[in-house]
Amino acid sequence: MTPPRRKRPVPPRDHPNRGNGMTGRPGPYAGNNGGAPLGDPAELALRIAKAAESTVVGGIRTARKIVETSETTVFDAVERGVETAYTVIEEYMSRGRLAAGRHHQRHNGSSPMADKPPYTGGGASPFGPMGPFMEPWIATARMWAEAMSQLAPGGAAGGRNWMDQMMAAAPPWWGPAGALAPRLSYEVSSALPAEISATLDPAAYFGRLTVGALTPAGDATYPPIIDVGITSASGHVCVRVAVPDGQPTGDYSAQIQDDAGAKRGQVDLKLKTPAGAPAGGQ
Amino acid sequence: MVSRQPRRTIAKTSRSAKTRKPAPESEARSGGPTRVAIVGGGIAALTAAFELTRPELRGQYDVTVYQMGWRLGGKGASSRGASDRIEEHGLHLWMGFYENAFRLMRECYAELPPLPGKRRFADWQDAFTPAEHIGLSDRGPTGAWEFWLAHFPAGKGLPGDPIEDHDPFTVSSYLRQSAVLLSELIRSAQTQPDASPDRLMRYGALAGTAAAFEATDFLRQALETWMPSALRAGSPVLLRLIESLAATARRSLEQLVSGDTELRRTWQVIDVILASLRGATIHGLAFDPRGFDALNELDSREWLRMNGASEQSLDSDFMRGLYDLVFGFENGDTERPRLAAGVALRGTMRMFFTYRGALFWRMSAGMGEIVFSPLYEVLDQRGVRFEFFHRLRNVRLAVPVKGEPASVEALEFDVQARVNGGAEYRPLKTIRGVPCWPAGPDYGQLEDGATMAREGRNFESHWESRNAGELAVRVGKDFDFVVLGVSIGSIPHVARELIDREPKWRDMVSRVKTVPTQAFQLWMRDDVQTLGWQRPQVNLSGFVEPFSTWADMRHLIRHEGWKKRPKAIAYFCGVLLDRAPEDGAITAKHYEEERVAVRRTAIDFLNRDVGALWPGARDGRGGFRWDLLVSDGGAPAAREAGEGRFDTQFWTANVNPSDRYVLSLPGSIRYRLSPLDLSFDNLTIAGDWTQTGLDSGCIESATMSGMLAAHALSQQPPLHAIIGYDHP
Repeated sequence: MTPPRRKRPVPPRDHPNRGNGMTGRPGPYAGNNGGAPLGDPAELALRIAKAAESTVVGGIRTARKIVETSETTVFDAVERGVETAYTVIEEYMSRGRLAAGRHHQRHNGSSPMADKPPYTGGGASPFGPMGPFMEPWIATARMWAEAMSQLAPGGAAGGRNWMDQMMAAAPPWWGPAGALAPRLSYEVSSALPAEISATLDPAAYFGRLTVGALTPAGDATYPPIIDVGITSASGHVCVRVAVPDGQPTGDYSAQIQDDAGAKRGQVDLKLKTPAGAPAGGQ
Repeated sequence: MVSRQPRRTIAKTSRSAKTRKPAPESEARSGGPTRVAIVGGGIAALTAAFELTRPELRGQYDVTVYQMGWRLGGKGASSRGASDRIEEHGLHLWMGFYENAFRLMRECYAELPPLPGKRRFADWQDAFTPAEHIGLSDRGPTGAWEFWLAHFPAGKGLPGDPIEDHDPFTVSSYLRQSAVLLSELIRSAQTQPDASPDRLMRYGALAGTAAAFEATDFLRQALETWMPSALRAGSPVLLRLIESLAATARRSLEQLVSGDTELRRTWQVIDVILASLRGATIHGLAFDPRGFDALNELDSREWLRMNGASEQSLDSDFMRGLYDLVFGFENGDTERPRLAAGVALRGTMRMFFTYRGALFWRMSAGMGEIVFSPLYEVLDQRGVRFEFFHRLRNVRLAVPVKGEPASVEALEFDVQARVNGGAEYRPLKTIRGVPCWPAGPDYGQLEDGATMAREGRNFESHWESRNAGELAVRVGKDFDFVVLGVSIGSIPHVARELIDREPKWRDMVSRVKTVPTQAFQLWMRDDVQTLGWQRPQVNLSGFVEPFSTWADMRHLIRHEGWKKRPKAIAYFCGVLLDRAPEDGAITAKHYEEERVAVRRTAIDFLNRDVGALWPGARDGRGGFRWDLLVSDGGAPAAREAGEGRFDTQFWTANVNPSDRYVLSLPGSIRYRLSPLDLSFDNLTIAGDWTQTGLDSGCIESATMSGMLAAHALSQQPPLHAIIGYDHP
């Protein structure tokens, strides 16, 4: 008797699973399995629609602000939007010019930091002298990334996860997710309890920054704190203050300026009376 | 007298050259290994053999490979000709994202049997070397050709390494990688010889303006998305103003880059990448269950145009380079670039964003000896039987039984030649420590070999009809399963019954198109620096059609056997206008006409165009210096002074149905059948023409297809182990 002819096994499927690896979903090679099942397309579509509906990020948020301004007409909103966008263009252009100009300056040997890599303030930008030019791209990529992560099924949480991973591997000046501000740190030496803060213009970290002496607020006639410094390297801004012994308690502030002398931010220092000591200055 | 010819030996493996492996059991039986007949010897077919004979499967599958002619390789076959020169079917480069293909080769090299004497390429990293530079060519403002070399940094890891704790094949990963690529493009400014402050300033402006353009465009999209439709309908002026703003930004960009060729090229690449990202976002591509396949009804350039890419970018050297890479020209007409958008997007994302080691890898010798000799040796060692000189004539179906799925009853072959004494044909010869495929059969092993040598048989041609006998292998008696691993161009000629039986097959062969290609190779007495090419070794695309791709193959010189070594080797390739008869039945006359046409085109190209690449190759009248061409002098043409010397070089017209390149035309992808398709319950298919997940004509796609074919029969490897199969 002839044994039965052998037949091919029935495969679990006969096409690739294109649903894996979508934004916010684990890809097929994320673990040791074949990837999460796609699920019901209708349900997925609903989830996407809901996610999209609730999406408010980056430019969308900007758009909402523009259009929702109840006191203005739509035309006013548009004009403001256009003006804002042109400002953005000009800002980006000026950053490019400024960066190239600084390169030119360094090229001619006039830079006080000529022994260090240009633009980076001695930090190690992976992009070398093109570092400052990279920021707009990074900002753009961030905008795309955030939009995609927000749109993803499951919302921003899944997206943030990979954004965080991206940030972990990113150049130090890339900054935290969701903000274009640089990282700020402080070094304060003071015999008195001190509270320090700084504000920075969003574009501040592109240029070399300087800071003046911390002068007392109001009409106080205390002596200024002159041992103040600021370094800006690859998006990491560090404010350093050494408070001399005997410096009166009170509020002090100093302007942060860029190369061109324009104000780019402010440092505020509050020197406090030690616990148990009598309040008041001096 | 000491011969200067390299020592040649027949490659020996663990078995005697004259010993024939036992044939599979002739009687049908319920136990024992499953017998698999694999037809074809290209990468897909051999991958299937490799997977089915893995040691961990403990001999469950008894595999026989049937191959027409004397060598394996399919479209990747290469041989050693006069002076042991390497003669290829065309130019083959491996991309750094060929995870499955590299893994196959790495495993294969690790399993290579010992060779008498020292094996030249014993490790896969001897066999493959990174090619870091990509060259593109474009006409500058004056109409003169200009060349642009892009360097891509080494990608983390090596292709074929395990993919462990991250998944590179996600849309989010591609977004992340896009930032890196864009950065690299901008950063390339500083590596240019003239990285002056002015240039850097222009790059800075480019970066800034382009980003502003994107920001503006995003604003527009945001308004469209968010704004209540009633308000939107009542205020079209709002969107028009935003559009106007975006247009202004684009105009400033175009003004910025006009007149600066390098900046323009950079912007065009960026523009294309941004258009892709924009399209992926706007159309919700990342969330479409069809993945990138959702775009496959559109041509790639058409889709990019829809997403805002400029006409200049769409006509750029970068885009032409992408189409050149996949011979993406319908009917071989270079005026008809056509490539399915989803396939293109997936391919470019994989290519640029998931490569490991290097963007491209070049083989250290011919593809035949780097890929197919090792595969042959390993499979041979595992016990796979190779039946060379077996040309498939027909796949015969079983008589239909109501309620039963269709199945194959028999495979009918013409036996082109018989081996002396019924032994197994041993196809390789070892040259300088490399087992190679000779340019023709080893007639000494064949019955009537001397006669056939005189007749000059072309066993790989479509029209070759020599028949030393016939063989019909039957299901149950000789095989259980079939892997049909011939090219799709051959399917209508060998599997008519399947096409007639199954509408899906009929659709596939009528919709999935192929195209003939052409190639030539030059060996020259001067190196390319002397000829005027001062840049690194390169693979360059986008040059004069149809020979739009040039590869500097200088690294092969030392592996060939010249009496007086050439100093340069150059490969050129491109599509060939399709003039095949309607039924695809190529005759000797047609083939000869096409060879003559290729020769003429190549000579004209050398006389007219190649001087743009190599100014030093021009003679006093602006034509090609034919005296540059090297030959060891055996052929009469070698003594000729003029263009007749071209006849000492190598060229090919790939017009045979099995030689034609598989296209990925818009609207055709959904007609591809998967090796997993169960239309015939004892047959599967393998080839880059199948639905592989990548769906393009390349080594990786063929490898994936072979793995799928193995899975179809054995459920191994698991689908998730086929890297990139489950991809958006």
